[in-house]
Amino acid sequence: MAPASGSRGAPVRLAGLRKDFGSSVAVDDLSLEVGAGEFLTLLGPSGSGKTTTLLMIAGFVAPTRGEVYVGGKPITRKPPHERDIGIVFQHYALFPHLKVFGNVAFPLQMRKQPAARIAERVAWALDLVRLGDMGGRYPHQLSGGQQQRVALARALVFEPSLLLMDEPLGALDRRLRETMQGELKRLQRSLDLTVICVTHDQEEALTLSDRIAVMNHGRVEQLGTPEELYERPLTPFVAQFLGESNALAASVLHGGADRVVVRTARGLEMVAAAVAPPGDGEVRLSIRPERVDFLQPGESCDNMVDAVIDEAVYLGDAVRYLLRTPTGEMLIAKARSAVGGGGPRMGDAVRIGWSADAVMVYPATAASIASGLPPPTKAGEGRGGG
Amino acid sequence: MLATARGVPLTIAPEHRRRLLLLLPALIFLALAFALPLTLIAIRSVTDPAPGFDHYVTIGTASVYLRVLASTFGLALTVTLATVVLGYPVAYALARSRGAWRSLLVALVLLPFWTSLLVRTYAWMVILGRYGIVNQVLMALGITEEPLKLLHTSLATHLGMIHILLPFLILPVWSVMTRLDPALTMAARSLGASPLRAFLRVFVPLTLPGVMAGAMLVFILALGFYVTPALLGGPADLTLSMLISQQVSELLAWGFASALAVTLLVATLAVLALAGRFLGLGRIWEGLD
Ligand SMILES: Nc1ncnc2c1ncn2[C@@H]1O[C@H](COP(=O)(O)OP(=O)(O)OP(=O)(O)O)[C@@H](O)[C@H]1O
Ligand SMILES: [Mg+2]
Repeated sequence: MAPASGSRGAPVRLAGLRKDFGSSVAVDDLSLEVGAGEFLTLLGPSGSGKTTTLLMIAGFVAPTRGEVYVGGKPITRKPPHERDIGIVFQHYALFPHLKVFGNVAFPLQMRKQPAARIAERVAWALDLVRLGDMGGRYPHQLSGGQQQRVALARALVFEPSLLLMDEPLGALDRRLRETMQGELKRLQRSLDLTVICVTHDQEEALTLSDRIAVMNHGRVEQLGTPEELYERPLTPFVAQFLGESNALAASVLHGGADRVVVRTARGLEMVAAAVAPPGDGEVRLSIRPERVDFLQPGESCDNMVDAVIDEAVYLGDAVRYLLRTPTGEMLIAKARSAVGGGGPRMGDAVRIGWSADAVMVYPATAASIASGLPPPTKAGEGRGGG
Repeated sequence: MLATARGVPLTIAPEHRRRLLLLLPALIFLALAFALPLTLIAIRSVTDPAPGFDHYVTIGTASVYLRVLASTFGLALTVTLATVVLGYPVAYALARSRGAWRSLLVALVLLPFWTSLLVRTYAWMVILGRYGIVNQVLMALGITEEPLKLLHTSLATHLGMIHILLPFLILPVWSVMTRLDPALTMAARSLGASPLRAFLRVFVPLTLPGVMAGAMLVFILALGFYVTPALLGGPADLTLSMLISQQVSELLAWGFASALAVTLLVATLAVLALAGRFLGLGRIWEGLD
């Protein structure tokens, strides 16, 4: 990689961004900061305002209110072509009438660079995405993954201060997507790029991002590292959107300083390592399936209950169980698949348990997952309220 | 499925056979109303009044016929260029418009399209006539004392034909423009292209197939235009189709008229073939669908 220049990722700040379309609010008072060289993902269900946010940063949608800063300077009133922001579009938007070289050279030609410099930069960018020998092809002569790389090279060749991506890997098959995730991450690190990426693929978000902003109804529900979001989701929505979760409605029986005992509508009692939220005592619970364990005889745990396996789905590296308790509560458990295929089977009576700190407690009024999204659990109780 | 590999007999699967059956009425109609008369004309051109290629020799050697052929092509070319220049911006406005504006524009493009060609040509006669609207306005404004001769001129022919053929250019161009992914111009803008440069470097080249399709359509229609040049043009603006009509209705020279018709057909096909060769016929059809 010949003439790679120094760090170029710029910090980005969105201050109170809002966009109304008629009477509906697509993005509502969105404020966040992205550090120089940081990879931030906007993650959220369809219609949560991710694309609208991206288009406001890029300059294609004028915010109703708020300001966009890149590198400390407000750019809200600049037209898109003066913003110096690289964009990778979902379907790449490669110019079909130009060869790969012409596509990658386009931003440099727009900047009126001399031909020799253009040739050098294009070669650099194509090498970067390992397409050094493809300059003479037309986009339609490339595979989906190659087109994606050309789009990336084109967005990077002019050394933008910020790279935006809208569902960049959405059109690729699973295996290719994983390869490209690796490449993207490698590029972002080695070039020290500031990236804002939009996706509704949680796995992609977890793999790529330094931080994730989970969006819902045009607002940021939670902003944090993948680990923070997964381990300490602030709302049931985040808990359900990122990974799988048992969602249960319950009421507080009695609460202590750091422990609270709750009972679900169907009478399942459990202890949670949490403070009871203020309010009428109605709460929402969230338990990760992989925190629910099968107990050996004699083993004990904070919360224990007998159950029957209603369904066992083999996932390769894990098995996903649907469990029914004597009171009719349905719980999901996930366990590493046993060597040789042993382990509990459908119809088996088992004893399951989970620790107090596996139970996350939220006020009953907390925003839940947007309707229209398939509920991650079959337990009907999880869907009430919110 | 059609077996197209060499050596494999061409078989037609039952579902395709059924589809071919649907085409049958149209094929029969085309054979009776188009292929048959065309063949008769071609035969007549070399048999009437006596067998031989005399008519074609006359057309090829008498300069008057070549001149008419050339001026017919010239007229078609000018009209085509004018429709491109006038129609492209209209198609662009159509593609960009939304809601009520769009309905209005579509109506403005299509209404003349649905009006009889003869009516529109007569309308031009009213407008351009000796005491037509144009002349009255010019005289009222004192720009001219005497009414100008506008009707039965080459100008009138051009105006009428451009007006009548404009929708044939606008519609295919519009169709290509609406199908163009808006992300392409957005990409150009994000890469540093001003609105004008994004338009010239990305939008125009990518809508060119539509322009080619429309232009080809207009050109071919213009080559065979009869009513409008006959009613609006002057004696000097003789087109091939007028010549053919003259031969038939005034001179009853069916054989010679047939030879002229075949000449026009061959010339048209030649243009199509050339266009297909240099512009890619596939891309033109692409623009038309
Ligand atoms: N041009 C527009 N006119 C009117 N409403 C719009 C427009 N663009 C977006 N919206 C609305 O704004 C909301 C947010 O849309 P946006 O495209 O930002 O969602 P998204 O998070 O990108 O969703 P997806 O994951 O489906 O792409 C939606 O309710 C959408 O209907
Ligand atoms: Mg979107």
